[in-house]
Amino acid sequence: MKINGVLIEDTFAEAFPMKATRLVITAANATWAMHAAQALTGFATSVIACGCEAGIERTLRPAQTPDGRPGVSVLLFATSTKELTRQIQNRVGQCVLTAPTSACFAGLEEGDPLPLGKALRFFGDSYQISKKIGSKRYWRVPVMDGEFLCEDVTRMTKAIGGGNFLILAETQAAALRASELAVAAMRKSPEVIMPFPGGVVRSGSKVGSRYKALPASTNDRYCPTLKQVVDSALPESVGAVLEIVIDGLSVEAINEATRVGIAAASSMGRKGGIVAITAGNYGGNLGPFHFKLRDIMAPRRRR
Amino acid sequence: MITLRLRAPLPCQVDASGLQPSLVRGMDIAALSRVKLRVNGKAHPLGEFFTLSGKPDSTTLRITGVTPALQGLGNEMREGLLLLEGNCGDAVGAGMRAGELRIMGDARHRLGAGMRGGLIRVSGSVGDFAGGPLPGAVSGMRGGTLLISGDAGARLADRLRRGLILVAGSTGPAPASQMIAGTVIILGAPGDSPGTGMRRGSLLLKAGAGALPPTFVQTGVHELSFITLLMRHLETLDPCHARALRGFRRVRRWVGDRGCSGQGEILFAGH
Repeated sequence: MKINGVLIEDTFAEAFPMKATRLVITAANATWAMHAAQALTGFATSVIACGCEAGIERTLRPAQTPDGRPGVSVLLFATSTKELTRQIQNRVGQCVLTAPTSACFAGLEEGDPLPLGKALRFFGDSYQISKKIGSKRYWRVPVMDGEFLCEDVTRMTKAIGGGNFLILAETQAAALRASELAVAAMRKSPEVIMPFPGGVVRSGSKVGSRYKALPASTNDRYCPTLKQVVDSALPESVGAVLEIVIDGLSVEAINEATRVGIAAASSMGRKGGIVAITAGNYGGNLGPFHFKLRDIMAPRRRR
Repeated sequence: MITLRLRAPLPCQVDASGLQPSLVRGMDIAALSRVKLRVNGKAHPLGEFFTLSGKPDSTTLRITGVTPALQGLGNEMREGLLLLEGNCGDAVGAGMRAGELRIMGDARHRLGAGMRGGLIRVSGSVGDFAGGPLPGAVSGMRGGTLLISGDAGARLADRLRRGLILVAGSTGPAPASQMIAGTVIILGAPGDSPGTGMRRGSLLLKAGAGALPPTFVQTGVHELSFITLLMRHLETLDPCHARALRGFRRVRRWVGDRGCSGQGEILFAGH
């Protein structure tokens, strides 16, 4: 399969089950909501060393948030309920509670409850106020600029981490441009995040290392500087590879993000320096979710 | 919906706590008219006192011509919609768990006493201790919502533990007395000494309300985000009165009752 002369390899991305939650962060204006969201999702690129993978899903208008202020929706993914609980408490406690004028709400209506304000309320040192409105409980924690309003619990859902595709380009500049186009398109898709810086990762990894202490190491088969050194997966014309990793709340969400991402990256065409699109997997035996690139990119039938 | 119309004034106080919306589920008019009602210690068929009409197609029960002689209406109610047309007696909706109770008229004392959930709407006014405790109970209402379009009597929300009470009119003395938690909104004039003995919870008052007990301290003017949530919640229940909450975007906050180490709050709108 080729799109604009760009080869779509007959392979699949192998992804894994994760636990996820959505949080809605609001503030007096969009700038401060974004400050809090960026702090919360910082250093959350990979569960390998960050504890969770997190990212900004989208910005929200005042009419879309519980308290009628500008907001940001963020998604957090972890490999276990315990770790997700810990990450939520640490990150909201250190990054949202601390941000001027902020408030934090659950962004999912269904799922198992995880403590949010229920844990953070103790910062109020007994001056916190519980407020049950409708069926939901909120905590009002006194802070130096007024009150930090936080929903009692957030909801956890089953999710998928590790959807991906790789852009093989003639030059680093072409790979970067295609990645930027892909991420810009994918950010319009709901229920997904691309957790790496700018949504793009250049240090794709393989499992294991020659050094015993390291669980993962560079994906040498996709390093262009090692083309004649290792059993390279890269054709002669490829000078740079960039990967886009996708975490999502559902198979459908990752399918759609992958589709629009590959379409955007391929729009530069072979003439624009994009050679091929491929995906990372471990042979299909480790992750239960397989995102087959050619199936995803197959023309849609009219219903 | 099944409608019960009182045929004539009742000879004495009648225990009507059995007239619940759940009663009408799966029963036709004939079966319903044979349901027993205890009057003067004797069981009488419902049809002896009420004219029955309608179809039992849902858990909605309407009673017209309600008088204070019908005692215990809506007590421990757990589901459905109960429509009461007329002036009700004491303790309507006491111990209610769920469902909706609408009173087209007034209600006397202890409306919704000790209720745990559900919604009570009153088009008229209510007596004393609305949302308060049942006699002998430690706490008042423990959940649910009370919307009163008229006035309320003395000691509204006494010992309120949880839940929301809105009074569109004025109240008698000492609203939110000994309040433990929960939220009370009074859009009219509150009676004297609001929040006396208050431990926690929020009492929202319009600006210019009467003097507070001297054991309340002022913490200044604030913008509190939870009021927007409260307003949006009320819009789903009572859009007309929810609009009045727009005046609470900036509030002057008083904390008390410090006379009993309380951390309750009285929020005055319009600042």
